[in-house]
Formats: sequence, C-alpha cells, structure tokens
Amino acid sequence: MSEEGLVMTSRDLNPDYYEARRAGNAVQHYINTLYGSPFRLYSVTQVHKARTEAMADTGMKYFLEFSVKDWVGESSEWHGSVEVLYPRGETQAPPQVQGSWGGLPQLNISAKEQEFYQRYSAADSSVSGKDIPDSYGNIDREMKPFWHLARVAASFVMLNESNENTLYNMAQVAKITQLETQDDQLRFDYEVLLHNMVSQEIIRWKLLVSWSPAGGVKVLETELLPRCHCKSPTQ
Amino acid sequence: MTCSDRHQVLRITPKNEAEVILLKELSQLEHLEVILNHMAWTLEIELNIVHLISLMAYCSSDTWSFFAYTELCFYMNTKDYNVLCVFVLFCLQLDFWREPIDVSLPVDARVPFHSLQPVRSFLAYNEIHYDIMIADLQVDLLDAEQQEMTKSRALQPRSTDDFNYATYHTLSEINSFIDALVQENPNLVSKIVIGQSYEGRPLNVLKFSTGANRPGIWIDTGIHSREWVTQASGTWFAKKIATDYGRDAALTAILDRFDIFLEIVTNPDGFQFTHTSNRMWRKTRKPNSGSRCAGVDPNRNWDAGFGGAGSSSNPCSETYRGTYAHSEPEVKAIVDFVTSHGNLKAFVSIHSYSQMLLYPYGYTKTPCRDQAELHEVAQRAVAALTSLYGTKYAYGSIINVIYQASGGTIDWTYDQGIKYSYTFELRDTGRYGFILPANQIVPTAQETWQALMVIMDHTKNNPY
Repeated sequence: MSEEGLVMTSRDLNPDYYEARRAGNAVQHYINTLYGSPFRLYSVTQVHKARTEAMADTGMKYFLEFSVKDWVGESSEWHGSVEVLYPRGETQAPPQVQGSWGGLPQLNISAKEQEFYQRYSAADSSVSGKDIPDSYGNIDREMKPFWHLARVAASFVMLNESNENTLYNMAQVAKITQLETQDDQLRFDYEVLLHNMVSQEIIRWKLLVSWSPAGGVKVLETELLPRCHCKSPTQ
Repeated sequence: MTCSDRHQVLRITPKNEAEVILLKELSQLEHLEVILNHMAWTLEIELNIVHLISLMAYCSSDTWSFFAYTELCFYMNTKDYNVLCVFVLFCLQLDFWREPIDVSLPVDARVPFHSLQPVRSFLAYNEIHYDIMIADLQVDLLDAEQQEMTKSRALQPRSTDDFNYATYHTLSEINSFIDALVQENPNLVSKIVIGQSYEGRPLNVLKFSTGANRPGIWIDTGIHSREWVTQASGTWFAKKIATDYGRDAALTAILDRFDIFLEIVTNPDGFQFTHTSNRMWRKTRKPNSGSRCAGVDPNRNWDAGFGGAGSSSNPCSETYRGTYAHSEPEVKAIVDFVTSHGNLKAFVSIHSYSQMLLYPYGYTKTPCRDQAELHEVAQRAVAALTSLYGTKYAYGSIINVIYQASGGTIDWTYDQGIKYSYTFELRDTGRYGFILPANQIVPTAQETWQALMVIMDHTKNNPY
C-alpha cells in the first residue's frame, strides 16, 4: 500500500557494510558538534542495525541503532537510535540528524575545563604548535586538549561535508595558533587535515574557533585551503 | 649567547687501547656538574671556544679537569693557559649514543655545532679517525621524545634481536634489517630483488623457504606509503617467521609445505617521501606527463576492472589509476613475479586503516565464485585476531564493506587463480588513522598475525 505522493522503499542494511558505516560516521560528527569539548569526544563504536528508506521528495533516510562512547573520558558505551536524512540535490548539504541524546554519557568535566580555561585565558597566553600528532603518533600531554578541540571544530566541517559518498576523519592538526581572547572566549586559528576515506583525499581546512566552558565550541570561520603539491627534494 | 641546536653525529672507531682511554675521557664530559671557580669569575676571563683545541692538547691528562655546564655557556679568555686548564668552563654538550667500550667497537657522539671544532681538533691531534654519520641534525633540545626517536633511529642494531619493533623506521633501517635477517638465518631466509621502483630503489622481497619447488604464500605491506603501521608490522612478521620456524608447530608445518614471500616496503619511493616531505603521501612517485601532480595509486593500477568506476582518471587524485594497467614498476614487478612463479596459493596485501579483512571483488558487485569459503575463513581469521586484544574487525568483500575500487591488487590475483586472496585494513578506525602511535605497532602486528596464521593454515589444509 503506498501513500499518495510518497514512494517508500525500505531496505535493511548490513550494519558492518559501507552504507551503515558512513551514516554512523555522520552521526558521530553530529554528536561531537553538540557535546564535544577539549575534554570530551565521542566515537560511534558500532552500528547494530540499519535500514534505509528513500524519501522521494526529500532524500534518503537512514535508521540506525548504534553504540557510542566518550573516549576521552572513557565513558561506558551507550546504545542509541537515530535517523539520518541525506537531502536530495546537486549541491552539498549536510545530513539532518534526529535523535534524543538524554542518555548520552556526559561525564563531569567542568573542573578540567575551568582549569584549562583559566590557564589559557591569561593575557600573555600564546599557544602554538604544528603537526599534532607528529609523524609517529606522538602528542605532547599538554597539547592533547587542543587536539581534542580541533576534532570538535573539525566535526562541524565534516558534518557539513558529509553525504552518502563520504567518510571523514580528522587526520592531523597541521597548525594551531592562539589568538587574543575576545568576549571571554578563547580563540584559535587552526589548520586541520581531513581524510575522506571514500576518495582517499586529504583536505586542508583553516578554522577560526572559539571556546569557553560556558560558550562551548564555536566555529566562527572556515576556509578550504588549496591542495599542497609538495615537491620532492631533488638532486 | 645560546647553545646550538644543530648537531653532527660522529662515528669514531678506536684503533687501540690508548684511543679508547682518550675517548673515555672525552665521554666523561657528558655527565657533569658545574664547578665554578671564584677566581675565574673575579678575573672575568673569557675563553673563545675555538681555541679549546690547543688547551686540550696542551693539558696532560692528570691536570685535565674539564667540566661542562650542560645548560649555560661561558666564554673565558686568558693568556695564562695553565690557569685555564683548571678553570675552564664551556658548553660542550656532547651526547654519547654509543659509549667507548673497547678497541674496534664504534663510538657514536652527538656534537653540537659550536663544539665541533674543538672536538674534531682533539681527535685530529690524537690521530683518531672518525666519520661523519649525520652531517646536520636539528634537535629540539627541549623535546626529549624526539631525541629518543632520532637516537634510536641512528643506532644501527647489531642484530635483528636488537631491532626495535615498537618504533617506526626509515627505509634504510628496514633494508638493513632485511639484510641482517638474511645473514642470521641463511638456511631459511633469502632476499629476492623483484625489480626497481621508479626512482631506482630495489624492490626487496624476503623469501622464507625450507625446500625447493614449493607452492608459495605472498604477503605485502606498505603499498600505500602513508600506512606506516603496515611496514612496521611487516618487519615484525619477518622476525616472527624466522623465530617461529622450528619452534611453533603450526608455522613449521606451513613452512614445510610452502614458501612465504614477504615484501615489506612495496612502495619505497612513496615511503621515502613520507619521511622527507609529506607524511600523508599514498601513491607512487612517478611524474605524470602533462600534469603538475605526481604518482599513481598502486592499488588501482592492476589489470582487474582497470579503468572502471572506483578509480580516477585525474593524475592529481589519490586514486589515480595510471595511463594503463601495470604502468607502475612497483606493480609490474609483482605481476611478473606472480606470473613467473606460477604456484602461489595465497596472496595477502596489507593496508591501514579501518580494521577490516576483505576478499574480492572491489570492482564489481558480482560475488566471486569462492565467496562462501572466503567468507568463512575470514570469519575465523577475525575471531582469532579479536581474541588477542578485543580489536573489532568487519569482514566481507571489498565492494560491500568499504567501497567500489577498480584495478585492485587482490581482484587481479584472484582472477589469476590465487583463491585465498585477502586484503587487511589494520588499526585504527580513525582516531589516529595513518599516524598510529608507535606503542600500537606490536599489538597490531601480533593480532594480525593470528589472522594470517588462520589464512595460511587453511591454505595448507585445502590444496587446490
């Protein structure tokens, strides 16, 4: 039985296969834009069940049951369900994610956030760094919260860029420079490398990011940078 | 003034006891405390470090009481050299990576640029021969971890037992490792050079063999150069095979029937490039005519669905397939080897990251003929892998689990008749991605080995 104007074709998906993985990846980015922090980051650890429905007018909707946890705080895994709608259209538009997150584990990080905020809101604070992690996977302990912050900020971009043919992860922080604190928000200029598993491309983005315990992570400006065609050292 | 953060590393091989003693004296300067002499300060004497050599030569060893302050440099001048022998303070900052022990055992000393002249003059005066091991080493003196990396990298291990498997290595270190493994196990291990990379580097394959005319099992790592945990795991596998033959019943049984071929750095040009220029480089380094972009994706260059969807025709793309199948010498060398060997029964190509075990096809949704069997073996292999550290893997055909990919390695090997053709995607799932911390190398290699053993064991028990 089909309703007037709406053709519903529902298809069960193998939760280990690429369609469900990509949708789960978009959900991960979405959760981090809402709840991520220098001291909290979520990872979708597994998709348990997945189904799609083609919404003739609006796009492709995915229904997922999945597990997620905060890997910075090492929270327990939480089992949730979510709908992801990838819109139809020629131009890129982010998927719309709908879920209820009341059960998401949110460990108390306010003391850590306050301490971090106090430390880096000093007038002369000028954090900077590059290649985080370095080529060998090392991250200075002190730089870890900045790495986490970059991942949260990158999540905004990765979510915006997500569609059924992408699977994004942040590969590395190329550069971080602290800017003057403004309106009580710490501010940073980031250059991040994103890896799209599907195209295998490394994409460079410049991000202007603000953060405070009260204000959360905000991405004020983004700029897609040109590809680096690095030359090999000749002779 | 500031102490330099550029260094040379000198290798000195003492020819006799006298030289060993002299070098030991020099090495005393490494671990020192400041001794400030009041007279020196009141006299406000300044010494130009360049003149140090004459002082060192002048002072006999029992009045020679040089002390170095490891953090500050003091310059002192005086006409009275005898006074200076006792009072001189300077910032030598030598760091002995290999201490002087005995005649003919090399001594490695890291020498800051400003200390080079006095140290070299000291060696020249005493006619002690040395070589420059590293001409210009930038060392951030505050970054202890980076120093360790540089240090452990430069120390060529004397044997594969000394090799540090829990760290990432350079191309030359891996090639030295390969030669050492062959040297230590002449009855089991040999090196075959199957060709040359575009930039002329040897394509080295380790052959593990206990008899002639055997069927073979092939394993390759590092075809995509940025996937560093794979080359690192490859070196671990090499050592594992050499160690376990004759000790582990399962591996011994496999090697008594099959040869194992292991290519650790399948894309050496790319690998070198990840060390020198771009850590995220994936492809080969062959220039593409008419384009400013170099390189071909060696896992889209095989003659299996070549040119179809799942690879790019754009030379600037990370999945550029090349102008024709097997255009890349790194790929052609393996193609030629497989074809001329003619009797490979399993082929495993190892990548990272994503934590997957995959079988053909990537270029088409049509299931391969042996899908059911390959799936069942993959299930058991993944169970064995997960049993070690709980690492979760997905498994299935390439096109179902990860994406459509044309011109891929194992699609070609499968279509050549090598039934047990598999691809791994090792740790992790995106937290560190390509830049996996070194402390995960060995656990990754260990768990992957469990899966490889299942595949090799099944190959042995199911001849075809």
